[in-house]
Amino acid sequence: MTSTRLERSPTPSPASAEATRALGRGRVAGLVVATALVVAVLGRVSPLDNLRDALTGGGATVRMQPVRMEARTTDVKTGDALLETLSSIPATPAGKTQILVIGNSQQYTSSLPRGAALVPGHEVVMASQQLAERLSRRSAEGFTVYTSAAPNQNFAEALWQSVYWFKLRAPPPQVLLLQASFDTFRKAGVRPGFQTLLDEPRFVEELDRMMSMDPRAYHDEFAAARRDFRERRSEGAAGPRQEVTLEDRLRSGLERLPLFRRREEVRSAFLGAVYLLRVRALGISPTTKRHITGQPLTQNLEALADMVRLARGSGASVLLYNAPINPAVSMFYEDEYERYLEALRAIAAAEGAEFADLSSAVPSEYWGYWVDGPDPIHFDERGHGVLAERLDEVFGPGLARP
Amino acid sequence: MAFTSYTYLLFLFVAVILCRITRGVTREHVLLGASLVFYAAWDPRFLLVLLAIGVFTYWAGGRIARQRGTLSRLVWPVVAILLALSVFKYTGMLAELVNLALPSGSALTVPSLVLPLGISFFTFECISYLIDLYKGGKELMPLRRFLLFPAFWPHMVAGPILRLKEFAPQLENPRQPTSADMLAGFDRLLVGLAKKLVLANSIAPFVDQGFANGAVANSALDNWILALAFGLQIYFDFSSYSDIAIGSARLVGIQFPENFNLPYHARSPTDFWNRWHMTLSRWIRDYLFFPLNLRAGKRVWLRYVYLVLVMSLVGLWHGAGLAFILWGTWHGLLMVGHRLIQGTSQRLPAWAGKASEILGWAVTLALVNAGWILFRSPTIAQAGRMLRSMFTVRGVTPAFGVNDYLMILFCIFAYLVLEPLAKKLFDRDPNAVDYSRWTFWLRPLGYAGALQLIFMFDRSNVAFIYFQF
Repeated sequence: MTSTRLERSPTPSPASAEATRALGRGRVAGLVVATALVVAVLGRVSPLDNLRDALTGGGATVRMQPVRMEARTTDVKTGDALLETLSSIPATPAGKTQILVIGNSQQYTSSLPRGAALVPGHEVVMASQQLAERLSRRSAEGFTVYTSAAPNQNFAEALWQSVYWFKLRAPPPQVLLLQASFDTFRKAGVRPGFQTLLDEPRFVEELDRMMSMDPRAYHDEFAAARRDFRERRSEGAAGPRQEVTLEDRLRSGLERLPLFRRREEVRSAFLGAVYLLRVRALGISPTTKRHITGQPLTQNLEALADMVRLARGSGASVLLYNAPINPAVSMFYEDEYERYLEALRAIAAAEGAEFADLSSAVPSEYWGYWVDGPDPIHFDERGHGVLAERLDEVFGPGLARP
Repeated sequence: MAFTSYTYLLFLFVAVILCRITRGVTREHVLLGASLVFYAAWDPRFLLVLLAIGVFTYWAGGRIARQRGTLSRLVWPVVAILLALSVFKYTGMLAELVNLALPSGSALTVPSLVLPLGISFFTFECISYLIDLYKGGKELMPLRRFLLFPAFWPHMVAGPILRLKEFAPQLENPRQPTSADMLAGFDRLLVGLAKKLVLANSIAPFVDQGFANGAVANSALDNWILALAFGLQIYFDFSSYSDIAIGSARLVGIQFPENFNLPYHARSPTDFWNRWHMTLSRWIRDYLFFPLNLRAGKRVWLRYVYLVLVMSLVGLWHGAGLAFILWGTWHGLLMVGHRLIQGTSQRLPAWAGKASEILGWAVTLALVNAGWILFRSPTIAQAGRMLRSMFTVRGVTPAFGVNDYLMILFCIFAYLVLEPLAKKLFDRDPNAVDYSRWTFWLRPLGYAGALQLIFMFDRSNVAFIYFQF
């Protein structure tokens, strides 16, 4: 071990003194003013948006047709407050069967094929809504569909929100239509928006009860989410209450600064630009083959099994389907994909759920285009129609009897 | 008051202003008052522990200075300080160990004492003060000035661990920081904040996920990647703390020693400890390793035993747990192994010497990072499982998202390219830099960019890893 030398210059040399004079107070003041100016300008311009436009060809390589959103549709974005969203969903009209649809962004996105033009003012009807309409036409009782989908929703998150749906909501949904997309089995964690459910004491009680039972691979994710939520709620939790208030005040004071106020927006644009750079520069896109194994897979499968058990325990029918995949892409390793399908079948069989593999339900021409190639997850309105038809064929007879 | 909170930045701003407008005794009062406020903001109870140990050390130091050469005057205070450290830090561990030996049903209750923040750091500084006095060092007087030695806020919680001879002269002959000092301090502060918020905090979720659930489903490849990822996380976390500490101190005219020097560039385990947490290394070397080495005399084997023992104590200093002791022992064994083969490599021809240096770097990197598994795993069993998988190459399929791996690559880039640049910048004497060059006016862009990054990634509640020590 060598010693650490401390170099200290208590009396500056003549050269240093010269340099110090060069850095006079005027210069420092100029530096402060110049920095303030740059901060002010940076708070008002969005250089990252220009970068994103450049990387996506001005948006020409990604086109999304808006979908019809109803009160019963929950598209949970990363920052959304899920508790608030779920609490505001209206109760099911009496006599109607309540279907809860849980899945990823495929549920509510209409991605257009390359070259297709957006139709102004047109709103796409999602597969789940089309399915409800089909079922209602055949049955006198009627159906209400709640689509609680979120981008890249993994099964730890799906289970997390299911605790609310099946333990707290009265009456709970009678049918759970569950979309399993292999791509989401590599994701983990419970996003901040979902964590807001921890504000509901009954949810916390149910979560505690669930986590006190057999250990599960996703329990650490739940524990981390609770910790994260607690920490977010009390910035600098180790300090006394007064300090938290001061920190809060400072933060709200900083909100007046555009550079601070727009931080979430800029962060999102920044991460978007990093993602697009990844696609453009490294060629790693959503269609690139990836392994889905290990911890993330185990966590998701265990959460899926518990979710099906939870819904079945409350008396709901569970309809599990393997989501359509774009036939033009090959993003999974065959052996891993086969094992995943076997696991889905095994879970459905063990828990008394129905299972259908709809991976090849949507033809390739109905799929969208994403930056550098075919969109592997999202299709257009025709795709939603085909999926609704297939869902009706497979699960409809059990749901709506004329 | 976390270093990454806006409260701290406000606190620092006020402290810097007050230090600039005060002189002499008043300035010392300002520095001490600010330090005590900073510490009390974590938990006022901690303050009592800090003041008690500080005042006791001052009193014991006075006794040593009055009658130098009386060993008992040194030993008892050192034992008392170590006892205080042990009560807070190791009682729980000791109770658990005793419980292992007791028959079931007669177990001791494991006390849950709150660990005062930074106690490992300020107790070591107090001990070094007493030893230095015993060896003829100069007493730091009066009490307010002495208390600044362990309590000065930038280094109190997680170092750098100061030595009396480098701190006392700066208090006894204070100087106002020049504009260049202020600029250098500010640069250092910004770099530290950006490193913590952008790099260390961004890699943390991947590490947490990888080490979760007993890591039972991880492949060997993922465990190696996790070891590297945690190595990068802890480096960026701890070195960013040191950057903020060094920058903050500089803003009030105090210069701290460096604590890191690109540790993953090390070509041997010994070299690693010359570059990692350097102020702890020199403390251990000067107060433990050298005296023990002297006792060992020419018995080389005994020196090796002492080396392993000392490194095990370094592990224990980091945390009250068997895993930390094993981590320290691991490093001790690596250092002994390196010493055993060192002679051979010195006899190699030039070309082979170069190759052995590269090999030394690669092996050191791998083994140091493997050691992080012991440090980070929540249980010894998990660490054993992960290490077994790593060294028996059980599975090579990567299981985590591509973005996680890319984040690690970015951190490697930051370590290999940005860190050396930052080091070059920080190594300059700010008072000898020519600020009249046109590049000076690029600073506003850099500052605004850094501020934007800090705002974008700010999460003041993500604690520094070394706070727990």
